[in-house]
Amino acid sequence: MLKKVFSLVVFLMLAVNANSQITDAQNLTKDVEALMYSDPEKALKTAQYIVANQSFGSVDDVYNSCLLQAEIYINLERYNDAVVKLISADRLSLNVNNDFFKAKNEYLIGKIYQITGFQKSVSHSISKLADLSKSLKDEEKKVVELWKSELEIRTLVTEKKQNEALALIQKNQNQQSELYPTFAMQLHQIQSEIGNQPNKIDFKDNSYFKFLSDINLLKSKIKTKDFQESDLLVLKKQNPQYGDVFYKNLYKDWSQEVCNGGNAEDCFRVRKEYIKLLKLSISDLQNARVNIINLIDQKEKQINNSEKDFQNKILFALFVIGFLSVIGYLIYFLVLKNRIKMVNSEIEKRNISDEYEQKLSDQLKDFQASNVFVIPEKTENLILSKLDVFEKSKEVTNPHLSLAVLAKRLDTNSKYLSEIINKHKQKNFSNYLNELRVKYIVDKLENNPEYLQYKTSYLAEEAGFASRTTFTTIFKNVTGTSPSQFIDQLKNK
Amino acid sequence: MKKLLFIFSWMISLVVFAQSENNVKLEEQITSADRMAFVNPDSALITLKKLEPKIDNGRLKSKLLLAKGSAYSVKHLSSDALKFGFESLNNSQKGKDSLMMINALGFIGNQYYILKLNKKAINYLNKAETIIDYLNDNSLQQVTANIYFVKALVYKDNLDSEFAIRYFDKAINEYKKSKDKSTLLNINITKIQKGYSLIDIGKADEAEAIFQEVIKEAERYKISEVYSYAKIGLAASYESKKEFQKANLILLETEKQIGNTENIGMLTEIYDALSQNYFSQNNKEQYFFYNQKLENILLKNEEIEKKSFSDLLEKNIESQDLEIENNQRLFGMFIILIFLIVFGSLFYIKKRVNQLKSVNN
Repeated sequence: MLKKVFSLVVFLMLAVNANSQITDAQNLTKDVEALMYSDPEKALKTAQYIVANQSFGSVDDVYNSCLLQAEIYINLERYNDAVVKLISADRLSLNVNNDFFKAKNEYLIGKIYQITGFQKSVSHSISKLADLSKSLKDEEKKVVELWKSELEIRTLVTEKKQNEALALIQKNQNQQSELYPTFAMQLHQIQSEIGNQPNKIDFKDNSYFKFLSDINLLKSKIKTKDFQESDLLVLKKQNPQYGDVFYKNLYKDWSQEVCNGGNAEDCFRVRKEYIKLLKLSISDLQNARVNIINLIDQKEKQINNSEKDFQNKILFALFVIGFLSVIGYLIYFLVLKNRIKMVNSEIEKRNISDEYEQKLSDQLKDFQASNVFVIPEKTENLILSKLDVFEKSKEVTNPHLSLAVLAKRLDTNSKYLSEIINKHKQKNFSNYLNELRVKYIVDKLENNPEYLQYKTSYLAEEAGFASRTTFTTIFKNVTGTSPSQFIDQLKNK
Repeated sequence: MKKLLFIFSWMISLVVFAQSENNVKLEEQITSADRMAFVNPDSALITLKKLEPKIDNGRLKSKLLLAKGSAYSVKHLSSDALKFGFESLNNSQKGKDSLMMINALGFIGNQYYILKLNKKAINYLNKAETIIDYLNDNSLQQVTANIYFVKALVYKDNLDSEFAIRYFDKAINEYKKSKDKSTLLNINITKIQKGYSLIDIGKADEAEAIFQEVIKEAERYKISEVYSYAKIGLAASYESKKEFQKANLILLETEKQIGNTENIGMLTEIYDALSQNYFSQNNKEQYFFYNQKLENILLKNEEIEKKSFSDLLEKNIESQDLEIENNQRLFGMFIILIFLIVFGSLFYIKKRVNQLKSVNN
């Protein structure tokens, strides 16, 4: 009993512990989401902690952390790092079943495609997002739709279809979701980039979008010649978390300004910074492209391999089914063949036995035929003459008379007697004797009228028959009428 | 610079071995597929795939794997390139083929260098070097020189140019000993890299001399690409000595010479050097002019890269789709085959069963 209680307690402790670990990973993920705009470096470190300690959370948590890191790197315009994280996420994707996270991965890949110039592949991501959103419900489905819209808008911007992009922005402006709180800000940012004007709304809640908005504001100040270098220094000081690459276009505009009219020193300095940032940005994009090529190759291989696995499974199943069917049918055939063989062998045996019997019988007949004894003529005549005497004597009525007795009396053997009776009387001994007895009685009835008065039983006894019934039957067989009818006929005469 | 690296990886897998007569033809085919990889990696891979079943020689197999690796490297599929590099290494290790082991190690080192994983690059190049030292084989000059060259590049990027120069010199010495056709090109490429390293350590005069030497060689043997690079290098050595006018003169002359060929890599170097020189001369107008040209050429290059990578991605997807399609076709064929075998067998058995039944009746 104690052992059981102890096991239960241990199990509960482990369950609570496991549950608390998952909760911790998810809590940390929430922290990452909260920090990704205000303190991206800290958010990256936290996400990396989840990735590095994979046992800390589930595969989904690790996968989501990789995606969050990629998203943060995209925001920081460190595109190569973003692609590297997407490659890591992709390696985990086989063990992830969460379609929402997979959709997020596809959205980030689509975004990276756009930034790095793989424009044709963006449509592929958009259609994949549409597919993935089908299996999702409510809020998650809505977010995927927002991601899809964002990619569509960015595609229109890249294709320089500004009006269509603005119309789509207008259409989606009021869309919002708790799972994608920065959607409206993204749209405002795109809108300000299209118009090359500062944002009209205040991004107080989000330091990242506020920073982007401030850069736009400074750029517009360059145009209106209100720009002061001190403004830029203040912005840099206020936002140390964002890299210099964000200022690339600002430096470009500024260098145009100072090199076309300002002093040489400013021109050299600003231009140098711009070219440095341009080279950095190009180098980052080039590295990102190389890695995208590898990422897509990895993805295609995964698809290829999973398809191969699926095909192999189907082939194996078909092979097994086919093989079993053939084996089953073959077994049926063999069993049938065996049964038929057995039946045939039985029939054959029977045929052989019949044939054998037939053969034997034929052989016996032949044997018998070849072994028929020959009675000397003299003997035959002697016996025939003795038989004539016997036929006329009262001996025929002897009830104890048999072939052997008669043969003895006639001084011959049963074989000879039987053969002679068969040959000359065309009947066997029994019929021969019965007919003689019936003839004797008929004679007595016709010639001795007192016999007409006798009972059938007496007549039977007189004739040597063992019973009246036998006498009646034989009498009828020989004369065609029964003894009583025969007597009646004689009486009537 | 990138182009030079590609030339180099071509050199690594081009090392030719003495073969038995039967394999000479196959080796030639592998070598030509390897050369083709730098122009059309997809068709090179198809050719190599066709050759694969014909190969039963360990050395040729290692070479084929390296050629495959080269094709994937051109396709920017670094993981596949490395995968085949390692397969080649394993194959040569199994066959205890030191020569191919050196080649595979050199290839892997080069791939890691391209990926900027310099520690790993040096690790594999060192392994190759150890085997080279142990073998002390004169036929290994070309491959030895190649390995020294990549090591020098890694050291130039990560350690210091003085150390790199030692390896450039070692590479030049080995190339000089080799009688391979590509030696002349390789030796001059190495000299140009050495020249830049000399500028880095302030030995501009020595750099100038070495660039002049390359220019003379290139003029003599009409190696136009090396000629222009050497001129840019010469301008850099003048710039280092603050002889900006001389440098600009050479750069402008080179710009004119290569202007028609639209060699973006070289034009970038020229405009970068020119704007740098005008900056040093405090010439704002010229600086801004050439700096804008530099900006335009960088952006143009970026656009070209964007397009070429987009095309490359499409081609890679196409070849993967083709593979999927082939697999599906094969799958369909297998299904048909299974159906045919199964139904054929069942039909035959049924026929026999019917025969049995009819005979019995």
